[in-house]
Parts: sequence; structure tokens; C-alpha cells
Amino acid sequence: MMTLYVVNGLAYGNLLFLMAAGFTLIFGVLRVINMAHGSLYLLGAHVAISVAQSGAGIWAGILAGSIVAAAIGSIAERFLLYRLQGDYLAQVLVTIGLFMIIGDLALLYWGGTPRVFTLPPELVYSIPVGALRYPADRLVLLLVGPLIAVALWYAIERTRFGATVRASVDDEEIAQAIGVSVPRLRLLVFATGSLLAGLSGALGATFVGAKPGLDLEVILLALVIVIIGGPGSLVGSYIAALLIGILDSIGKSLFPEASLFLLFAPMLLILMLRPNGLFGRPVTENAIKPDLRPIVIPMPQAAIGIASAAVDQLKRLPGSVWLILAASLMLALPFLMSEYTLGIVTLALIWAVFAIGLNIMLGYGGMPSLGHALFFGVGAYATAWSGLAGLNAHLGLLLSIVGAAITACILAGVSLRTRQAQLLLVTLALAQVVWGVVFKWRSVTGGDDGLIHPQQFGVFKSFGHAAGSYVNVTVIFAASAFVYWLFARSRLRLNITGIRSNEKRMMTLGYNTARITFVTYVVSGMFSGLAGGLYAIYSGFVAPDLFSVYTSAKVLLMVILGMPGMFAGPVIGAFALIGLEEILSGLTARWHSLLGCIYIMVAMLAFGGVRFGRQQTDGQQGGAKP
Amino acid sequence: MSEDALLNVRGLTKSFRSVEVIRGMDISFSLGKRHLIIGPNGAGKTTFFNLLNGQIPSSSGTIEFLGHDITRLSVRQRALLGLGRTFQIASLFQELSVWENVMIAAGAPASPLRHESALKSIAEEALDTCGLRARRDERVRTLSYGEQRRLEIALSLTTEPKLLLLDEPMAGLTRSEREMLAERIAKLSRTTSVLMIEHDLEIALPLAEHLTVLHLGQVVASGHRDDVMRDPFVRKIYLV
Repeated sequence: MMTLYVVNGLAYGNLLFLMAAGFTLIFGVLRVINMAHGSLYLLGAHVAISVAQSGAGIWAGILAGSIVAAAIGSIAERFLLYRLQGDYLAQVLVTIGLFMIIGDLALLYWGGTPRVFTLPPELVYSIPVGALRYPADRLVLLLVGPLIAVALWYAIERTRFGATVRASVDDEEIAQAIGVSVPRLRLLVFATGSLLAGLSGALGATFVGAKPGLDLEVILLALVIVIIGGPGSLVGSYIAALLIGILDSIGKSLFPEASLFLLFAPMLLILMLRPNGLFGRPVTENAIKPDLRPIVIPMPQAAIGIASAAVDQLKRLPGSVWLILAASLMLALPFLMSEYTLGIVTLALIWAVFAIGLNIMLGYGGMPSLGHALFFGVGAYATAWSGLAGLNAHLGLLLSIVGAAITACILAGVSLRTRQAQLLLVTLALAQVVWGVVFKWRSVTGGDDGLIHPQQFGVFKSFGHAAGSYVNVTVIFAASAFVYWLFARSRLRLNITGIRSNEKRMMTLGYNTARITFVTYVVSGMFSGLAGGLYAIYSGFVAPDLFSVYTSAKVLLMVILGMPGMFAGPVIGAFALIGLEEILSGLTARWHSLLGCIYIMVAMLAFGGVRFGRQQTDGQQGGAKP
Repeated sequence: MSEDALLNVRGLTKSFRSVEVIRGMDISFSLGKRHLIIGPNGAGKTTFFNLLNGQIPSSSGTIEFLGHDITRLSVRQRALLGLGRTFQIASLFQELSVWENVMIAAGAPASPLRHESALKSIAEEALDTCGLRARRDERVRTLSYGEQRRLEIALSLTTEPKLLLLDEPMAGLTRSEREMLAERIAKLSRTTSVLMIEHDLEIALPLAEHLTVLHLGQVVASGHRDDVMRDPFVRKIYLV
């Protein structure tokens, strides 16, 4: 029996490697965290199944699946990601957008039922393994996996071409100067990575199949493998993939309750002992951003003039005027709006507190996080449990802050040893670990059913439900905003911004930079935890989804929408995105796709890939290279 | 070891892979003096500074600073003992304003001051030092090169270090800016000892009492300025 688990694990491990190899190749060479990698896998699987079912045969299906994935990946690189080189945050947003669009369209086209391709009887073989028989189609993986692993390794480490790729990535300007076409190289790497995603999806078509949500599962497994093996290391990925494959195979059969934890435990261990993974090297950031000519969306002169004049005028207003305006608007709202709209405003205020939390870390501290949902979720569950335990709402909210602070203290040791793009990877992975635990630990968390809890806002009950929630949330929002304002004027803010700007100099001046980043991380987590607590009371319900990457991505988009580091940014971003979601979801059932487009547009606009400009009359405007 | 020893370096070696950049360096610097370090390109001057303030670890040897063995201490721990430095390429907080830059330096743990009001006055003083009072609210990124160099030095003076390492402070400055800076260094309190790397001897030599010449990672000559200047080997390799 054990032999069967191991063989099964090895076959699955090889499939995982093919999938993760593309991800690690793209991250290692291009520094792009491709959140759409799982979507390309899913596409590969769907296309392969459709082509095979149409009678063209499984081999044609595998070929078609790989090619479609490679083509979509290439288009994304050429027209979107290439323009955002060096801005890993923008690239992540773009790939999250693609992830949403592809997932949504796949659901529309192929439906929600899991699909698996059943091999025609003449192709079904099985091979004896111990006392049992093992299907031969999976054993193909034992052949293809090592073959591709060796080929990739050879191409990158041992050929002239591989050396060119590695060198060009280190210094694009020099590479261009000696006649290497870097855009073409990038495209080739991205196409190869995407092809591998599609190929692995297609090869898994007969037993993993395709279903909604698989894209996210795939990306999580890829993350775990890449973190264990070391970002950018093919050898590391191969070993990690086999390890995860075997652990998963044994875990699912022998300890179904703990199977997810079995996958994450080795990752946590590695993060604690070797932050760069088994075979990884510290990631060097590509400091040089190429001068690209931005895409200019023509706008009439008058519109630009009016807009910039308006912004100038608004900037001149003193802070006290803004405060009075905001306060009177908030007081007036309950009398102006329907209960439903007031509920939306309340929701936006909660998200604003959440976004303030992330802005403290990302905007002021320059530390990105794609796992802030972790604190939001912890805060929400803490408040929900407090309600179930019969505590009042104020204690519940206090617990949400304390819970998030404790979580941050524990995780800081694991996450703050990395920086920049790698920090993004690690925060995402950590949030997913907790998501997995919450999902599986049914007796405490209610599993995927979530928890319905009796927690309610303690005061202003006579205002009615919607208005009561609104007033309570507004008061807490105002208090948070005040603390946030104090933070913006504090030494902590000055010091963390100093670290973002020049960490080396801060150390030379004697600052304990590790402590400053730690405190910032905890403060950031506390705001987000409080937001989670508010959300739990607002909705009366908590579910594992609160921890998901969707939640993290949404708050990240809010912060970027409001411009990181701008004081009022998180509030503006929260209102803009919640409002947009509300409008879009009322317009069409395909609003996930629309939202995905918004992710891409925000990234392109905020990071300079696209901008609004004057109507171009000649070729002299734009970012021609000096 | 004499009582007024500021720095005591014994057998200091630094190799990058197989290349020895600093080769068994032995040298002492005395307290309260102005020391100038010269040497041709590749002599290991900046590497020596990086070893002194802990930016890079040494391969072997010991460094004593005011009687403490600091060989294994971190950059931060050395800064807290009173070791400050400037960088060859201005190393400022580019996205922050001039005022925020000096406030960060004034409030540094290495700085002796604690009260907020005292911090502000020392920061004001630093603004005058670098002559940037008029531009206090501007982002450092928008300053000219010379202004950035001046701010760089003002920042390291603000923490009142016991030893200040100046790495080519005059590089890239105009004639008048150099003179202004030299005047400021000359006016430094004697509680701050100075170790300076500088190529412009015309302006730097009058500032220093003590001169050290490095060549290929070793000390060729070290002593009173005028004695060293008369050394025939020094004349041959460096001054011709």
C-alpha cells in the first residue's frame, strides 16, 4: 500500500514540478510573481479536455492546451507586464486581474462542474505496483517530468543562450548595448513558463481535470514549492515538488484532516530556518527601470486644465476645512440615503480602516504585503468568538486588535526576514497557511460554513439597524483616523520612511531598523485586525474567505488606487473600489471580469505604463529616451 | 597601547574571493586629531572605511575603537559607540524633505540628544551648517549635487560622533563649495576626531595634522603630515 502512495506521490510530484517550474522560472528570471499562473494551468486543462473530447485525441489536446497557455502568457507579457518592468507590485496587480478575468470567463464557457477527460478504453493500461495496479497515464509523468527538468536546467545553466538570459536580466542596458534584444528574451522566458503551466494542466487532464477554483489551488501549491525550493531555483523546485507530491499523497489518504497542514508545515520550517529556501540565493532587485514610452490616452486640453486646476485649489484648503467638511458630510449621510446605500458606505468605512493598516506598512514603510487578509481574518474571528462567548462588542473589537497584534508578533520573525518581491511571496503564503487551517479546523472555526455569531454593536441601537451600524462604525473610523494621524506625525513614521528610503544609512546612524520594521508591521496588523472585527459585527457572519487572496488583493488595490503613502489615500481608495464593485455587480453578472480589468487599468495607470495626456499632435511628446 | 588611542588596527585583512584588498594592516590613530588618508586608486581606502564602520566583515585581524574591540560588532553597535561616516556617493533619504533628513539624523540613537526641543534646535543648526535653510521643505531628490554633499556631511555631524569617517567629501564640488566645506571641517569641535579620504591635497592637507598613505592594501607611511610628505617612497608612488 505504501508503495502505491509513494508512486502516486512521485507522479503527482512531477506534475507539480512542471507547474511550479514555469512559475519559478518567471519569478527567478523576470522577478514577476505571476498570479495568473494557475489560470494558465486551468486553461491548459480545459482546452486539452475539450480538444480531446472533440475526437482529436489526447495528444492533440495536450499540444493545444500548452499552445493556448503559451500564447495568452506571451500576450500578457508583451502588452502589459513588459511596460511595468521593475514594478513588481504593479505586475502582481496585473496578473491578479488576469487571474480574475480568466477564471470568470472559464466559468462562463466551461461551466462549474468539474471536468475530467476519460481515456478511451484502447488507451487504458495499468501496471502492477506491489499487489495493486497503477494507471499508466499517470506514469507518463514519471518520464516527462525528469526529462523537462533536465532540459530546462541544461538550457539555463549550461548553454550560451542561458548565460545570455541570466546576464541580460542583471543588466538590461549593457545587454542592449551588446546587441541582445531583451524584450524578445523576456518574451521567450514568459512564453516558456506559460507553456509549462499549460502543459502541466493538460497532462493532468485525465486525473486532476479542471474545475473552478483549481487556478487558486495551483498557485498555492506553486508558492509552497517555490518557497521551499528557493525562488528561482529549478533544482530546489524539483526536490520540493517531489516532497510535496509524496506528502500530499500520503496525507490525503492517511490523515485527511491534517493534509493541508502537512503541506504547509515544511514551508514554515524552511521560512524559519532558511528564508531563501533550500537552494535559493538572496534576491537582487532589478534597480534600473527602463525608459519606456508610456501609452498616452489622449484627453482634450480643456479637461486636463480643469482637472489640474481643481486639484491645485483643493490642495490649498487647510486641513481643518477638510475635517469640518468630512464631519458634516458624515453627519448628514444617514438623512440623505436609503438604508441600503448607507450599508455600502459603512462597508467602505470598514475597508478604509483596513486599507489604512496596509498603507502604514506599504505606503510609509515600503513593505508590500499580499497577505494582509490574515490580520483582517484573525480580527473577524476573534470578534465572532467573543460574541459566541457572550462578551460585548467593545471587548470583541479590543480582542480583534489584540489578536491581530499577537499574530503579527508571531509571524514577524518569519516574514520580515525578506524584502520587496520576496516579502510579497511570503506574506501571501502565510495568509494561505492560516486560510487552510481555518478551512479545515471545523470544530473551532466552523470550516467553510463559517460562523454565525450574535455579536452586535453595543450603542446607538435605537437608530435602527443600518443607521446604528453606520454611527458605530463611523465613530470607530474617526478614532482610527485620529490614531493614524498621530502615526503620520510620529517619529515611528519618520523612521520607517527613512528605512524605506535608505536602510543602510539608518543603520549607520545607529537606528535599530529591525525593531522599527517590526513595530510598523504590528501597528499595521492592528488596524487591519480592527477592521476585521468591525466587518464581523457588520455582517454577523465570518467565513474562511476573509483570509483569502481576494481579500488581500482587494485591500492592496485600494492602497494603490489611493497612492501609497498619501495620508487620505486609503480612504479614497476604499470608497472608490467599494463603490465601483457595487456599481459593476449591479450592471452585469460578469462583474468579476470587469473588476479584473480594473485591476489591470489601475496598475497600468498608477505605475506609468499608461497615462492620460494632451492630444498628441506630433511625435515629440512622450517618453523618448534621452 | 597609548592612552589617547582612538583606533587601533592590528593585522586587518580583507579578501574578496582570492583577491586580498587589505593585507595585514597595522595602524593606530590618536584621539582628537585630523587624519588624512591618501593613496592611488585601488589602494583599499574605501574598503578600509567599510571595515572600520562594519559595512563589510573583515577576513582577519582586530579593530579597537576607544578601547573596545569592535571587530565583530554590527554597523549599528559601532554607531552607538560614536562612529559616524559619510559616503562617497551621497547616501541620503532621497524621497524625504531636507528637514526630515536632518530630523532623522538628530533623533538617531547614536545622537546624544533626547528632548524634542533640543532635537529641533540641533536640526536647525544642521540646516545652517549645510546652508540649506531656505530649502528645508524640498525633497532631497530635487537638490543639486553640491547641496546633497553638504547635507550628507551635515547629517553625520548632527549625531556628534566621536570619530567621523569622511569618504571623499570634496568630490564633485565646485571650488567655492570646497572652501566652504573645508572651513566647516576646520571648525569642528575637537571632541570629534576625523579620518578623511580625499584626493584634493591642496585643500585637504592643511586640514590634517596626521597623514597616512595606503598602497595596494598596506600602510606605506603614517605620521606627522610634513614627515610623511618628505618620505621618498611616498613621493615616488603618489605625488611624483
